[in-house]
Amino acid sequence: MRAPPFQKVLVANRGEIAVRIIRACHELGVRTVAVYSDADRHALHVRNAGEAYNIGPAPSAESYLRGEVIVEVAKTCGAEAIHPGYGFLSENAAFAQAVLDAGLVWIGPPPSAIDSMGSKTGARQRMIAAGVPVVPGTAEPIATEAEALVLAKQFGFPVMLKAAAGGGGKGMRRVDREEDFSSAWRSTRSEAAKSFKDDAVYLEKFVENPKHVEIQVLADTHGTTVHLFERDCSVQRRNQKVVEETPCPVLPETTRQAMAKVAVQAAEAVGYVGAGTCEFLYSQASGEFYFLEMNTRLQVEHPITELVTGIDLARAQLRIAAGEKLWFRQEDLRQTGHAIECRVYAEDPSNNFAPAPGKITGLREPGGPWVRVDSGVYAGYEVPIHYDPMVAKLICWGADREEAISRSIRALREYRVRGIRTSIPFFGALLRDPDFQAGTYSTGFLSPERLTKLTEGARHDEITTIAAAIAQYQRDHQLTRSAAAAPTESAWKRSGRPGGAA
Amino acid sequence: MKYEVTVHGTTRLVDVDQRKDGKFVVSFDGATHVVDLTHPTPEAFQMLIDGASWEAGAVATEGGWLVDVMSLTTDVQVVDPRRKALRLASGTHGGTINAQMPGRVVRVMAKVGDVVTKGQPLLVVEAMKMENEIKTPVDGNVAEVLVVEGQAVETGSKLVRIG
Repeated sequence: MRAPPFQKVLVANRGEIAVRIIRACHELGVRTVAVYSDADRHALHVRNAGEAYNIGPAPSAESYLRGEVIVEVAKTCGAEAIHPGYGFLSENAAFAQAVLDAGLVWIGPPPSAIDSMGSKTGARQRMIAAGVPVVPGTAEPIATEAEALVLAKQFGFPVMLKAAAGGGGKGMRRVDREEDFSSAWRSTRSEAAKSFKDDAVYLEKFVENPKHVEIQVLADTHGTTVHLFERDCSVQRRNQKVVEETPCPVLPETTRQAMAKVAVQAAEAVGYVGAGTCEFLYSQASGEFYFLEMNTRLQVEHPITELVTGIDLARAQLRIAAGEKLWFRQEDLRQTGHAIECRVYAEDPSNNFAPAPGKITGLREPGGPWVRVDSGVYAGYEVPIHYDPMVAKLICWGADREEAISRSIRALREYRVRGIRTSIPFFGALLRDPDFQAGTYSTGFLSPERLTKLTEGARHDEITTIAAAIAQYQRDHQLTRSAAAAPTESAWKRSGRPGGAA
Repeated sequence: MKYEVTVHGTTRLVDVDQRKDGKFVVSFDGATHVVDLTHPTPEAFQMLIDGASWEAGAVATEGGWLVDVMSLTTDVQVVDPRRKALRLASGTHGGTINAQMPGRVVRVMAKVGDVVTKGQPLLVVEAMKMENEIKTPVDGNVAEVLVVEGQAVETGSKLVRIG
């Protein structure tokens, strides 16, 4: 076996991504250290890690965002490197620098690359300078609401307000009308201040009906950068990705190559190292694509790329951070088959997708061929209110798109979560939708009307009625469920037990 | 037994009986179903409904059951028509807006005496990093504001009373 890239790594995250990284570490023979808040003593990443240390109270600002405490834990317990996962401190250049200053290895790009790309406004400026097409908008944060409104009217509604330090759909708002602008401006700033400790906001024209297509890149410390093809992340709700697939079902090969080339150039331009993703808007009407931003971290949806390329991105991050040269060339990489990810959110589809934290009383995860579940929860686990509502991901591979879709539908049918409401029932209807199946859907796919239709499509009102009526009958007749359930012992079973011994 | 069962706003009169062989007979909407029921775990209802295999979960609530089928959880109201009069007389939550989820009140826009129209935002509750506007489902006057900014609320906490 190959020598481990590190002896011990601290994972500065929680939930499914912490579990995912811990798995990669253990596979490479690396010991793991988890950190957790007061709300996460029971969390799965703590249970799976080799060691775990408390870093403060439940609110992220007092625990998972306290870089100095995390660095201190790493030094005390003898971890050599820190993996930030996604969200939290993953795109915080100051934290990356603090890790390096403490003599530890940062499993991510150099702080300078995070600085260049982590700020969307900075990235835009760089891309404009490099001649890469970008969506019309302000390249810098806007100081006042009045100034912002003037620009919004100049670009024409609808516009997008975006937190400069944001990502993953957080801190973004679409504004359709002038009269909604004021409240959207204030909400975006206050959410940005709370989530990212930075209330800088910029403005962009909203391109109608685009696809959101992104390119995965991987770069080593020896000057080699490769791309691992695209992901279509156009199924979004409130600018939050819901379903992702690869390959993009409608992207012409020439456009795929052009987009990938731009992504590799962008990464090289900032001296990028590790796993990163360049996001683009792709217009099916014109065939044009626009650079949106580069995410300088592992993405939530990285598993679909892993399934079609056979490259384990989390393991690759660790090996690259340890200084290893990339062990494959661009021309060795192929997209084989098709992969789809469904993000399981603790949200109530029948109540406008309101957050639905609570205790998971029952859980049955799907299995079988080419089905992968990356989860941060288990039966008996209480989903806390303090963090992101995404609790798990279902990722399915198929030899082609049709097989990936039907396998996903089959797996969703097996996936049972009891006690909390999740987006699981909604996905079956979504994957059966003719516009999804056609592959031509855009980021506007999940309109309020379609959401209503898909949510209703997931209902089983008659079965629900029968279950409720029987439950009520049992209670009114004081039937205990075990008594009601007691199966009559069959003669077969009796005869199979010699002597009838109990 | 006859029950009025309400699912997603549709109320059905449902007749339930248990046969001597333990199977349930459930009739509504002009159809009769024979249900073979077991509980693989105490909260699970494994049902063979006219031979079709279905699984549900049911947890008692005030006024009915929280039923999940294929991971979709639905709030079901079940009323015994004989007890209906009693239930109606015992008072309702009518006019009070309750929290749908645990979270923290980040903004309160409603003031006592405000005239509000259906759909108007009253306050903002934050949970799981998302801000959610709580809107009034009815027209009326704000009779009482029962929370303050910064306050933590649980599912079912009373937020605002509309007169």
